[in-house]
Amino acid sequence: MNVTARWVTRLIFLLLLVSIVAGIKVFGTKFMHREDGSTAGYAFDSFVMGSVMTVTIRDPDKALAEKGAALVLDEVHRITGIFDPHNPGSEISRLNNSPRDGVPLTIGADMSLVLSEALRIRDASGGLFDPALGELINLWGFNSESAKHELPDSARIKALGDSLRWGAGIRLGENGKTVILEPETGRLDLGAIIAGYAVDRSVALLRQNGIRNALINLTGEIGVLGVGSNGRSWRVGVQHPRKSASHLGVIEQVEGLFVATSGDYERYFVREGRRYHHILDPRTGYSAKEGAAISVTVIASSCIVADAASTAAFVLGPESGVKFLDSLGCQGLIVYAADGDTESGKLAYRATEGFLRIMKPDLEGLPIL
Amino acid sequence: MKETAFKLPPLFTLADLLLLLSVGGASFAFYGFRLWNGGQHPQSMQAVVRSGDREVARLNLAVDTTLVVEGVLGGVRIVLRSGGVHFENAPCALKICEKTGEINRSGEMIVCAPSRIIARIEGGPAPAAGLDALSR
Repeated sequence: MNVTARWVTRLIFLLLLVSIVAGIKVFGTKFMHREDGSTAGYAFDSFVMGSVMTVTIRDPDKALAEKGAALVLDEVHRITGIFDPHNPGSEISRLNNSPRDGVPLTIGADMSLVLSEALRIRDASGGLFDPALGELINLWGFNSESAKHELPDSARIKALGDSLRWGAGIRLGENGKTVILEPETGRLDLGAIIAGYAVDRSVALLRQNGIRNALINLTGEIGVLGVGSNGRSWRVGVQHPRKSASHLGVIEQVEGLFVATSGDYERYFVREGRRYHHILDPRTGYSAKEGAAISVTVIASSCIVADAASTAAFVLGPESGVKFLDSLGCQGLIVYAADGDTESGKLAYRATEGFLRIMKPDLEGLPIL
Repeated sequence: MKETAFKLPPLFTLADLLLLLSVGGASFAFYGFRLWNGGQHPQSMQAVVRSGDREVARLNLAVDTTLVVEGVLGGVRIVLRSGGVHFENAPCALKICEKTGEINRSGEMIVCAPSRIIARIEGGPAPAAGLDALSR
């Protein structure tokens, strides 16, 4: 009896030990991170819109997480299919190939919503955010993967500016089911707003499908649901525009909010000491340099607004940009070169009143000027 | 009537107890060290490299090495050095991946979108003060 009891106990002990070790192994391989016994979730990366989208879903149900990520990816592909100006079959290409004669053109619900927001931001920014700079964007080639990034001929830039009114001739028809493109309207290019729209749609889809904790990061435009690992708020850093491995601060209370940043530090080239970047000023046809802006981060209640407003505020420059963000009800941070030298000058920042209450700053002594 | 002393059967011998103490002590020392060390375990951190949808390598971050990965536009050199990862010789025009600089924390990644190559650091716990995403 003693011998039997001893061996039974040993067996139970052995089984317990194996279970514990197996449990650690399962958690170690199943989840992206382990942090103090909880999980950060599953992360899914996909190449979309010329960049990478990361969908992080914090849920122990792997099947639900995979379903959520698949839904998001399908939705982003659907949106890309409508708004890709380089796809001849897209709705935006159909509009771009239509004559600019003021005849109403039928549009779908997505196009209507995005154009409506784009025109609203265009009006609010005095035309400095423009959804119809297609000819100019193609000339500069910042969205082309094979472009050589040479400085375009100044005469061609001037000729475009002289012959086109860009987005000034765009009007939405009754009920938003048509769009009217007046003569001299430029080619539609909604690249400065469409990632934000895709993030809005993705977050809404995940919510509708019962996913409570998730983070979408599409080309740096970010939307969240619920909380991150250990039940704490998701932590969104803001890229330092001149130090690749640093961030300006951390936004922690992002539930219900969206974050977008526009900067001159990724899509750019330097010629004769001057930086030429992808944020174009419709007034000049060249890279925006008003007030020597370097980066703009916007926090808004929708990502489509955050995305477009960050571009618009960049073109407006730090002084007008902050007023513009206030007028939209957004919070924002504009980093600029205090002495006008965007290559090696001293950085400074301006922010809306509430921004630094949301972002825990690590501004490394940047002065508010 | 003779009384018989009833004794519970000894479940563990001295050897069993010594074994238990050894295993417990070793486990405590191992996990205690990891916790004391900030939860980081560089040996378990890997740079997971993907070209398109295909995983092409899992590289131990603790081992310095260089790997050339062929992408859509050509080869990208991925350098692991002193626990960090960076890209060199990207064939694209804007070289955004090179401008990203070095990454060294779990969850961080470098992307060469034109070549469709990603390097993401996985494994090891996320640092307590780490970021979930970077707006850029």
